[in-house]
Amino acid sequence: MTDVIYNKRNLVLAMMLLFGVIMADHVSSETFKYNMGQGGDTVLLKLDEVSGSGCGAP
Amino acid sequence: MTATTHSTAKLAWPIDRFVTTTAALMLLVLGWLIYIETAPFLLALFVIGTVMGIALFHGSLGFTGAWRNFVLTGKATGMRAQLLMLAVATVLIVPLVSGVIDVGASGTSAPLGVSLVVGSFIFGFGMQLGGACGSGTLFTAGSGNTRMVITLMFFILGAFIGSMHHMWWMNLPAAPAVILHQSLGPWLAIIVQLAVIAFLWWFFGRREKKMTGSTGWGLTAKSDVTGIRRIISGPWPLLWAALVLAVGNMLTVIISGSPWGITFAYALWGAKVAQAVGIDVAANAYWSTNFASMALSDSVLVNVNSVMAIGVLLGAMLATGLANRFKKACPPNLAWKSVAAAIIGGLLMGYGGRVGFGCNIGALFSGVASASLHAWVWFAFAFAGSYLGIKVRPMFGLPN
Repeated sequence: MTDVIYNKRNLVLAMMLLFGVIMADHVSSETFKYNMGQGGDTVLLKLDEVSGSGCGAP
Repeated sequence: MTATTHSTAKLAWPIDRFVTTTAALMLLVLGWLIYIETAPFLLALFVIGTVMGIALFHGSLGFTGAWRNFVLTGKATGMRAQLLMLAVATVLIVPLVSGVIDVGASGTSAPLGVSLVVGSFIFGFGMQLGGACGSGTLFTAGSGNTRMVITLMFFILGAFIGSMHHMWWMNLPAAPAVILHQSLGPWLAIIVQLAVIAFLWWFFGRREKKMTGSTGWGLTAKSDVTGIRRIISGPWPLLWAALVLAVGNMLTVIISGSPWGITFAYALWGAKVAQAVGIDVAANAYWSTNFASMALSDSVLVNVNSVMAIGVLLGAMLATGLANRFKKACPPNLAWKSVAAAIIGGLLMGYGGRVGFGCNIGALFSGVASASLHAWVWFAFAFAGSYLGIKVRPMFGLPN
């Protein structure tokens, strides 16, 4: 038994929005192009160049 | 009758099934997406982020409240949890980033200059107004706290603005980074750091005793809930959370090649939104650097910081459902002053975190774990900024 103090529909909408934004970003990315066989300069092939930047400092 | 009541009370295990199921579904769907679209190591990092989100929520391991408690009341339990986490991380991670154990990893470091000092001070000030730090904002937003969602949104905006100004700050005076395991050797660096942590432990305890009349360990607080139920639904003692975060950061180093960081993800998300509305982000000097430009043009699902941040957010949401506490820490009505503080705090944390080389996780936790001197400088100035922020909180109607 739980006492619900939130709107379930809003929570589902928030999750759908989050998923939608992630998907929209992903399908326009270099990795997605690479996966689709359309070239694509994916980070996954350049891991040595992007390592060591945990805090993102250039 | 009494026996029945006791029996019922003992069996009652309230779980918010809706929140738990929703969070679990999102984790599964995103985990599957990461697995099929990217690489297995990113799925592993997503899982680590999720576990760290659970640990942060169940252990209530936050920096902001702990620092405020220590300043105002002298209670140092939260500070001890952080010191323990830093000590364990030092022992686990310095051998990895110094090459004693070769896993091809490098640590976090940053120059010691104006940017670091100003950025960390601004961050510390902002975290008291915003109500949480880098990791705290994520896990409290994941727990359904509306005010923290506002803080998070402006944290992202501030981080983006900070990234656009980053190169200007980089041109201000600074001494080169000092990495203790390079200048002292890994073992002496570990000993020196443990000595500093031990001194701080003693100092915090001494102040606690002076202000409260007693001091103690406090990291293994007992709960009415025990066993597997406590592991799943919490609350965890601070010790558990501190250990999970230290081990989680170590695994992050082994798997990704560098320690855990958060604020770059926020800057990246802000930059992607700005780009989507037509701002030429890619022309900016910061976003033209190799690391940042590749992250900008590629999916968030291949950005380590982003994948882990999403994991933390959803992990905290899952934990909140399992603890039946979703949205329960959220004030029912938000006063405009409180919202203003969330906006200002979020912006300052974002900006300060970017120009100061990270937040309490990327700069402090991972910086100390990398034996980089900048982490200790960051700690000192963020604490000073936090002290000022605590004094300013009542102006925004925030309780002290």
